[in-house]
Amino acid sequence: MDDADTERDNASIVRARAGDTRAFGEIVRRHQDRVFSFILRLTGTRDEAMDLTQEVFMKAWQALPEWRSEARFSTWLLQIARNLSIDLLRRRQVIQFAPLDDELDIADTAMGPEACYATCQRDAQLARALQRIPAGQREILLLREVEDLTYTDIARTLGIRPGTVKSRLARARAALLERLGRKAGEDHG
Amino acid sequence: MADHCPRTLALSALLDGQLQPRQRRELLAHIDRCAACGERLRELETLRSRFQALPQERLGFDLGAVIEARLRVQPRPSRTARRPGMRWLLFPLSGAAALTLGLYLGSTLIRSMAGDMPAGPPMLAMAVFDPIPPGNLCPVPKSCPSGNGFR
Ligand SMILES: [Zn+2]
Repeated sequence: MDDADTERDNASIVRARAGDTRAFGEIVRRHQDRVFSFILRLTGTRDEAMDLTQEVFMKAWQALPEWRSEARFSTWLLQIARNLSIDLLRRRQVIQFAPLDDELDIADTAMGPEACYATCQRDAQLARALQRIPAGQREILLLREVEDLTYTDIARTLGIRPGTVKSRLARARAALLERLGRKAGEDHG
Repeated sequence: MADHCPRTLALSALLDGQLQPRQRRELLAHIDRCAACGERLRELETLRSRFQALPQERLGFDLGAVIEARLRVQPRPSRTARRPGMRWLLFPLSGAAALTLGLYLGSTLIRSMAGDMPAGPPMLAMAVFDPIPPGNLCPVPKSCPSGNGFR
């Protein structure tokens, strides 16, 4: 998001805070795909990601009076999305005693049936590898590589120290490369 | 590997522009001499470009309209953080809103009624409102363990 988007967000937030549901609807439209995309890549299941995306915006509405403009609104939304997703992943583990694996939605349905073959295969491979590393590594990679958050914003979003971001990111990258390497039958040593 | 291999930690920080100028110079000099680290850096760069090339997932419907419809039957946000008691507030919706919602929410409603999703979200509410609320909600930023240094 650029500065113009941020300004538009801020204007809509002022109206939404005063109870203007239409203004909030505009905010939702602007952010829905980004939030959904983040949650889907974090949780791996489309239906649950759809539910959670709605939940994120309902929570955001409730917490709107508490939002302060020092925090970028889009980052604040990701923080709510992250909290709800991790909660879901915890419940899922309790229920299933094991992480989802082959029943993941993300890889197969993400790109739609049309177009791209090699590219889609490659994207799907990355999406699958992502699902096979621990959630704590997955979330930090998504925040850095997809959402392009700074270390400071990542630390804030995850509630960890900025110093921890550096080491956790390095471990996450190493783990993902190893997964991808295993998949491709290469040895990354 | 050559003399002192910094491995992924330093290479990852280099990729993110997180090294001090001197550390950066030394690491780049090392990479010039060390094929393993050079290869590792290329892998990290490739990984980054693969992430950046991922297409954004699309929700595929107008969630704004759905949320607006839900909010019409809900009080406006207030300063006191409320605990949402109901997951789905479907029924006080009127015609147009119900139509908008119908297609998408059908499956959700069925799941809710079938009970495979927990109904009230006390855990979700806890995750968001306690102990650290979603945004910069800490009344006294300094008292918040995650609040220091955020912009
Ligand atoms: Zn080396």
